Amino acid sequence: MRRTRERWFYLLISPWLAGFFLLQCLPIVVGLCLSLTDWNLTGPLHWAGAKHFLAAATDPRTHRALANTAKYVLGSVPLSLGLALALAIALNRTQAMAGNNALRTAIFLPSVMSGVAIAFVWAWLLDPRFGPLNAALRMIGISGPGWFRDAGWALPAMILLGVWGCGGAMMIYLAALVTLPRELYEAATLDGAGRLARFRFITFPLLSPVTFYLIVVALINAFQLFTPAYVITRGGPQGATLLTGLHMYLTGFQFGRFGEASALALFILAVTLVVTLVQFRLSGRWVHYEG
Amino acid sequence: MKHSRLSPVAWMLAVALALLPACAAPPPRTASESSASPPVKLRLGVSLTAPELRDFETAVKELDAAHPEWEIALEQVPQEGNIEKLTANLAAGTLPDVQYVFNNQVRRFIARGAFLDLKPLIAKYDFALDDFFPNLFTQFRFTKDGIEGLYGIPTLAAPEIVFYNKAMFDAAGVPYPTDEWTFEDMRAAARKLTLDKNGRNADDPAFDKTQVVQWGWYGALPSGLYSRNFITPFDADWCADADCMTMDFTSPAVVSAIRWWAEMSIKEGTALADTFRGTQTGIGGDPFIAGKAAMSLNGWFAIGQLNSQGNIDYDVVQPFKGPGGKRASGVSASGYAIAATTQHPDEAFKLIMALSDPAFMTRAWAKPGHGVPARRSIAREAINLAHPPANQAAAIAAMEYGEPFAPYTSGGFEAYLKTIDDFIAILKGDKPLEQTLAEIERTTNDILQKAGP
Repeated sequence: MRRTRERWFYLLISPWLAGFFLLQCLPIVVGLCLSLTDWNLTGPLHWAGAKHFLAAATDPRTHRALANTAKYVLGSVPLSLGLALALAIALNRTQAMAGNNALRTAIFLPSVMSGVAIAFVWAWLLDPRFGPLNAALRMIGISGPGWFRDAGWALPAMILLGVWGCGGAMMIYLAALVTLPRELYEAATLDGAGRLARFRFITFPLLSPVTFYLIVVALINAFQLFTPAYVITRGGPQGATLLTGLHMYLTGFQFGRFGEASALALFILAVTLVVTLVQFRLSGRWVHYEG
Repeated sequence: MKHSRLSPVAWMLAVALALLPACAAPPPRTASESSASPPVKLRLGVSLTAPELRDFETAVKELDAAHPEWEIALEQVPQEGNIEKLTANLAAGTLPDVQYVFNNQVRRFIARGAFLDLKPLIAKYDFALDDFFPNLFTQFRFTKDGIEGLYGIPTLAAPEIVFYNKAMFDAAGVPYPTDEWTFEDMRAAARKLTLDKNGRNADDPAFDKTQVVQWGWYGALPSGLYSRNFITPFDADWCADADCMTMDFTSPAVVSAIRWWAEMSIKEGTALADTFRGTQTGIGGDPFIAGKAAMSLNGWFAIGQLNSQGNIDYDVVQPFKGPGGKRASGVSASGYAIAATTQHPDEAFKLIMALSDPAFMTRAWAKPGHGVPARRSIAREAINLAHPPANQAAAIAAMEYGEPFAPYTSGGFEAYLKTIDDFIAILKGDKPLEQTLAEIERTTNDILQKAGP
């Protein structure tokens, strides 16, 4: 009986398992093979040892990409999560307000839109000459920056674009907020705690597991960010928006060095893994799980 | 009976692995096998601009209808993603039978064995090449195991010629350029045509070169190391060998020529340092087409955009001469290659012959916004005086001495991408010229040598 149930189990999950092995595990294994070999796309593989890892590690563009990605992470993750939390609290408090649901939908919408479409919209919004943002700035006498066309502003513009997609995090915060026990707030209010104190000592600690989850996911996503950098800037101007994901892609598909690109992919995987493990290690200090 | 818990997983993996070979492309058939199975389905991969595609698609449909032995499937890839698509197709063994390729990208694919050597097919079908502009074959030639092969047949080319904005010249009271102008003539005119925000030109002592709103010349070395044709008229050449596998940015002649352009950009402010990214003009793309520059050296295909835009009154002349009377034009060209994995090499070559037929080329190309047909006998079909510019003959003349953009070997594009910022920094005066050129030389040669031919 148990064996029959097991067979049914594997049969029913086999489509997912097949996808997992073929589309997730197999590419990682192939990537590992490619990172250790030379391949010209048509002939056989030739053993290359650690050559591609060394080439990737010593390439100044890799250093630039890592630095840019670190800046992007430091800029976008706190801003987007902070904004998501603020919006979630505001929407949670105004649930009865007319238009609350429409507002939630509007804020969430960018999270489900096509990344390419979003990139094009932002490229237009922030166009230095024709974009509405600079046009509005000109109306009040301010000469707007070059945004994606200016080496100093391109990464901040990319961060701005990233923050705009905070709707997904907001929805998760919102779902968590409605589950917080009311009695804790009532008790704190009776003890004379103000809004700030209630947020600091009740809301934030109780939301910390959610915040932790969102930080982990946001960091992983930031290391993989590709679409806006590819569509809008292709890593420019002057390498200002060369992020790790794009660097890997260009190395493989533009320069035809798949061994080095695969080594980069594994390196990024390792960095992401280390950063995530560090977060888990540090989470004990600030993440509070009920019970 | 003992059962492993992992056995279903192992079973599924085995099935998946067994299915994998089915995804691979079957081995190519021999010529005799393929000719015995009409009608033959032929995939024709192209990467055309919208105006080119419109006319080409119609012409291919007519060709398909006239040849019941073929069933042509046209596969268009946007030009921005062309290299990626070709790379992915090559890795997957799914390149179209006949592939339209750009000759500045094609070498890296030839070197990897992506395409067939066409010489045996050219001989078999007695296909005459003498009508084609000879320079357009350069990148399609490749030596493997000591044997030089030909891996593509050119079809379309766009020589660079000088475009000038007549309204800007009229406003500045400067006579229009002619085919006999030198670069020094251009430089003098550019000073009068460059305006700051107060309307002062670069000959005016009060001219503010930090506040330029209109440039006389669009870019000093607009495409970094692909701007070789800006250097050769000055009797300098940064390609140190025939295939441009070794580059020389430190010889006195090259340094002197680059300094000539850097002075225009830095000292006079009459040429852009960062031509296409809009960091100086505020508008991305070509500054001439955006109406921000009075002159440019642009590809012939730009007339399509200028004519459809319709807001710039312009004409063209041949590229300006250097001090010794030498002129140069960079030519971007495209052609057809046959995938090494094709099952129908003979039919694919017959299709190329049909696509290269003068009547087909006249029907498909030779329209505003297209390049110049690669055959000498019909190149003049590209001229249509019903639309601007008036001096279209300049493009046909440039086809005779135009040379393909170099470096075109496997590492060319990577070298360009990794040095363009340094070129811009030199032309802005942000980095010292000679020291930075030495760095560019090291970077470029390192990439080109590692990438190979």
